[in-house]
Amino acid sequence: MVGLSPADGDDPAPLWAAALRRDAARIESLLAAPRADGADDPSLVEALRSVGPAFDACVARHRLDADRWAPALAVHVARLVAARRFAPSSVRRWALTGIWPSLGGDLSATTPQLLTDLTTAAAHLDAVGDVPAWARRMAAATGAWPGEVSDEDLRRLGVVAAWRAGHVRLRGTAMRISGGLPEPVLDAALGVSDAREALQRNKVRPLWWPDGDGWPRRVGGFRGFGGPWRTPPVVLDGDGAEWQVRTREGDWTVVADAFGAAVVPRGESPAAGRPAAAERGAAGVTGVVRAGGAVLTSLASSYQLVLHPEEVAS
Amino acid sequence: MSGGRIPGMRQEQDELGHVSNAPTRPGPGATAGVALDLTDLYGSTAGTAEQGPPLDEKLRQAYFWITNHAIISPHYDVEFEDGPSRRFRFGDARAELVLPSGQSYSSYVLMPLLTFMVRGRCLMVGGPGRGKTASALLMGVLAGYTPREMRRAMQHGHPQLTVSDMFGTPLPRDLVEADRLADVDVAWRGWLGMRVKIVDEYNRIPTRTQSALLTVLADGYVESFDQVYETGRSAWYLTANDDAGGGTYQVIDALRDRIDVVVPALPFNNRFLSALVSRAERGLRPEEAVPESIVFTEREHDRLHRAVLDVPIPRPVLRRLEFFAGQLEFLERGGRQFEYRTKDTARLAGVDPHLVQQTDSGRDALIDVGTQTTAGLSVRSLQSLIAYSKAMAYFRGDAEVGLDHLRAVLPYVLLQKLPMDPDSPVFDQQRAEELRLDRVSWLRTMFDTTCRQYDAAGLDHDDPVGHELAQFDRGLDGTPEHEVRSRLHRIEDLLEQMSAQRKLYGHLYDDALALKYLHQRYTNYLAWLRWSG
Repeated sequence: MVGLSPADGDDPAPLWAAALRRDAARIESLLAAPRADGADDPSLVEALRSVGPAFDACVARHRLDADRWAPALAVHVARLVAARRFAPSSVRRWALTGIWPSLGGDLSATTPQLLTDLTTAAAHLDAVGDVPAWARRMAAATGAWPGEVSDEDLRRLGVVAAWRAGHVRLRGTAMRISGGLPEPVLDAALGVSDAREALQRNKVRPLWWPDGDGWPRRVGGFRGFGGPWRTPPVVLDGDGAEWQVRTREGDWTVVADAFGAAVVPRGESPAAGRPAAAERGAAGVTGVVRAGGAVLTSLASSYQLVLHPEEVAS
Repeated sequence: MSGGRIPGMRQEQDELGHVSNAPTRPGPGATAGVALDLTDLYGSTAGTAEQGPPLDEKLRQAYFWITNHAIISPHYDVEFEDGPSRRFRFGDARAELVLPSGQSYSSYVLMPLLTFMVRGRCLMVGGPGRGKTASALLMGVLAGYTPREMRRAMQHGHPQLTVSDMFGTPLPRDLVEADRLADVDVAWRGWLGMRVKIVDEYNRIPTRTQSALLTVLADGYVESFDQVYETGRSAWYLTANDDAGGGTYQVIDALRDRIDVVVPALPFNNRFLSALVSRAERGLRPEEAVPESIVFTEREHDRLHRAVLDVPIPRPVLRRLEFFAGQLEFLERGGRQFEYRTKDTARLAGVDPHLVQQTDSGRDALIDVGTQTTAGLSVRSLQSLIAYSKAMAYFRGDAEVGLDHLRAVLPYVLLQKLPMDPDSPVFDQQRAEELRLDRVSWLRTMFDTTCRQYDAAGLDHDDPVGHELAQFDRGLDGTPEHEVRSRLHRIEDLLEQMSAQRKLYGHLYDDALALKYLHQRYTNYLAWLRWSG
């Protein structure tokens, strides 16, 4: 084994160290491929040490089988190290060292697949949403879960929490999953006291949410500054949750609701419709669409669209 | 896969060979919908009965796994553009380095993989230690065989290799007891039935054994002692250190012609030495750690082959290939009769087509790409080109073959099928001398030249011969006599116009012969109309 265990007595993760020692030969062989793929020993040692406290906390709290989880965690971490995805600031590392031990409830029925799910979801969400907010909601919702939580429960819960944390393109799936979640879990995942009622209203008016504020919101932006567009967008159509937008380089769908917004290229299926009629008297407005209690406005002089609920003035 | 794992591996080790969860080529064909689901967040549907990714995605995953983990080949010589690409020039030779704007590939990994798709025949050439055999072995593992099975099945060429060594031996008891040859049972070698076949150093095989190999390679059967063994379609990988006649035996032309694609091994980039050192220190053999998720079952392999054949090749792309191929065989002074003015006629007469070409001073040798070769393309070459273009399009997840797919595979398919005339005046031009040595670039340059000529002639929009052929293809049923006469006049007018041009080039030669064909078909039809009253 790659010199993982510190001197006896000051081991911050005795369960982890013991589990690795017990199965050292097999784990060593499992690590051969990640090492051959470029995981050097110092990085590997550092990475394996970093997950020790999380392992100990989860094994003790959820009564996990240490001999089953230790090789899986070691391989998972080694793979991430080989892929250069386990730097100290990496969201994947935080998913294992921070999010995993923060989960509440009874995770004794989960399998090591959970490790892959957590790191993959955190990495995906990192690009489009708020990972710390997702982690807080996952912790709260698992804590509120009645009985054992399975891998599948966690995956479904993760989708709802990810939507709430800003991954707006999961809206439809999250809405469907929400119906099957226990009430207290749903409330905790969405951060409101009567989530079902709020969801009913949000379904009709996507920008509405009990604690909703911060309007108007700006969507998109100039590509040179990290946005999606090279020319100012013009809004064509929309249904309150999905809006059709055109720029000189092509057509786009803007997905937006109370939790976030995303701009998706339409690829080879062009948007139908002409630019929506600009409101009379509004100088520089190239399009305004009202739908589902929301208003989306495009301006000749801006690479950003302006989105707000109808009751809020832009 | 039943094998191909490190001994003692358990389920957790399935994760060892990491295969990307993200689409390997996101694009119009692979655009996710606006709404995402569970799979998009977690990257897989673990816990459910997984169907697996589409086959083209699986192929790309296999490609990237090989280039990232198995073969250290950090080259992107098969370039695709998705918008303008930046170019840099270096040194006195003004060597151009292109940063391709589209996803590009290493020919050394890509061509064997395309061969796997079309169940073709791939020759890998290059000096010792370039990983030719290892690459071929990996293709076998992708087909579901264990590395051990593949190693046992691999045929190693050597000067004493006999037909029996290679294909099987008659049972000794039968040899003694049998009254007729048909009574002799042959113990066929197991490798003959495998979906991936490897012949290492094929140019060291004696000529007689090469001839026997030819029937297996070309026709999928082998015959010995009056017994026939049908091998079925399979992907073939042959290796050679030197394919320019440096092997122990000269490779027979027929065998050479059966090879669909030739891929030269690229040199090792010394900046990646640390990866090599690390691999040697770990003692890991990539073929033993191939992830199960990129292994193709027999059914998947069949499905893949059918899917590749189904990729359409649009008429404009085919037309450019016709235009290119049409330039190569023509030799104006190769014969007297119009049909015989070809390089083949000269070669059959025992005359080097180059010598005949030299006497032809009328045409501009710099424009006429036909002067750069001493032969034209065989039908087999064209079939290989089409098959590999389709595979290339399928591999990239494109719905139909595009010009870029054809351009990408063309040099590797024609590398040893199209003999260069190194004394062509084209190579004496400045910066064209290097093409004498770099045949991949030569073939690509030649194809690009014909594409520019095609564009200049506006043949996409104005192709009167193509129009006549298309009209004929619609059928003659019910065509009245006056219409046939009108078509015959049009054909004669076209030939009149073509003959009025001062120079005859290869593509015009093909056009003229096509018009003669149409004229003859219409003439026969007219005779039939008259006879039938």
